[in-house]
Amino acid sequence: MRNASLWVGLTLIAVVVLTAAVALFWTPFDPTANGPVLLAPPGWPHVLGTDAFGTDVLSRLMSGAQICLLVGVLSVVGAAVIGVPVGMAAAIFRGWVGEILGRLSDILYGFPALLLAILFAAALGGSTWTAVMAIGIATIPAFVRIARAGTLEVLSQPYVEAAELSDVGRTVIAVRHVLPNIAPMVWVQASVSFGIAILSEAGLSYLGLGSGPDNPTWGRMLREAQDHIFSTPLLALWPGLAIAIATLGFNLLGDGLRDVLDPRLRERA
Amino acid sequence: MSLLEIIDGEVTYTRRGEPFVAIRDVNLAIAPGDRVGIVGGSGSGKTTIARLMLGLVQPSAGEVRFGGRPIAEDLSALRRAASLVFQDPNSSLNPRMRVGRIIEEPLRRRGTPAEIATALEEVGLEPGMARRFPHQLSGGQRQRVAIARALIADPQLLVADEPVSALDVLVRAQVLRLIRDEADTRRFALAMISHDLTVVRQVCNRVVVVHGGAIVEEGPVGRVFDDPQHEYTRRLLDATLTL
Repeated sequence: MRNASLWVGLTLIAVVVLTAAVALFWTPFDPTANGPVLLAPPGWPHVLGTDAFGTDVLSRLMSGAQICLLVGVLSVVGAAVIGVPVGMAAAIFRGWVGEILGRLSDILYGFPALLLAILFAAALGGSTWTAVMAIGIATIPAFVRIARAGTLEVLSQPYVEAAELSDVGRTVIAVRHVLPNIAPMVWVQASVSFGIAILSEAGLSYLGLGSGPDNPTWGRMLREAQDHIFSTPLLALWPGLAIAIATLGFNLLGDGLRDVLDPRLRERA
Repeated sequence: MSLLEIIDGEVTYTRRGEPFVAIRDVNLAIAPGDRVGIVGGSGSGKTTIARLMLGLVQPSAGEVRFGGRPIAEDLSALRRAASLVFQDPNSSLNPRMRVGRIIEEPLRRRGTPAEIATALEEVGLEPGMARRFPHQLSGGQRQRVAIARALIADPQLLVADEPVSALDVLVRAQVLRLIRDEADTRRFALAMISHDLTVVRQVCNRVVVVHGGAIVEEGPVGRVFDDPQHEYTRRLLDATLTL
């Protein structure tokens, strides 16, 4: 296998995406309905057992994949769409504009992302959308920094000087020369951020600041399992495993993408 | 009238907080069709002169004129009429662009397939190379691509900064011959920076010797090589002969 981490990462993500897609139409039981059998061990008909409210764990897990992907994709895409252009601008416009953008992002970056997310969530009240916004805003500085550092490096390359001598203008240089050359770094950052976003969402839900009780998220499941950790430890294992699989999948994808996206590392003609 | 003129040019860099004069009192005029070799050792300021010509560095004193007008007044006009071949083709070609896109850039529009094919053939490359990425080419082929890019907009002035010193010894002569032949047919003015006197001798008709940031000797290639006036020129020539 030429790029093992890419394929393993894609497979793990495919499992999560498929689960989320299936859960749109079908789950074995209603993931929000309480049942008569509490804390049932894995078996039949509850394959992964039931929780303290008698809800089917597998159904909740499947439904949780949707929220996990929703929060992850929206927050990371939003952060990249804002962070990358800001970072590029900070590098391209030298002088006070770049200086201010860079310093602002450094300050934001110095602040722990989860703490920032907690602040937002606490101020705005817990909901899935608050989680998306909070995690998204907390993720912006990572993209600003990587885009700024990458842009500064690209701008020092002679091919950018050649473009300046061709009198093509700053926008063309940014789009044609800078963006494609920082794209691999951005992809890698996105996949790493995705993993962090999933963990953050779980953390926020765990603290009761994410999605409400009607939305079964993996983090909320973990928190609920905490009360029964000694009597029914498996209850904590399933959401923990799901978070680990999704996070690992995106991290491996990031690793693999870095290699695939670099034409210099592709086979020579 | 001169095509490009440096008048009392001085460039100062800041190095570790201290001002450092890279070149001073440089007076140099390049006429249309002229072929000037700018030679000197490392740190002599020859590359700074090249960058000054193209407006890539600002003079701290003096001025640069193109077609009789100060280049600061209309940098675009200069850049549309002049181009540069860099020393290292590895870093002067965007690794993520295909050859065709690279060489059409000075046109500031999409080049037609015929234009790109002609440009490639002119520098001795097959038109099919337009689809390749720079890393799929050899060092000599990459420098040919860089030359094709420099020539596609039909410049009046070509500045070549050590165009062959990063290349394999065997392909140096080919690339030099290419530059000389292009200068013969297209009649652009050429400013070639080199530390290698034999390179300049093969291509240029006039030579400027730079030492310690100043021009120490200037004249027709034959005269400077046969009867060097300045001590530094003699040392450069001796070094070449003893090799």
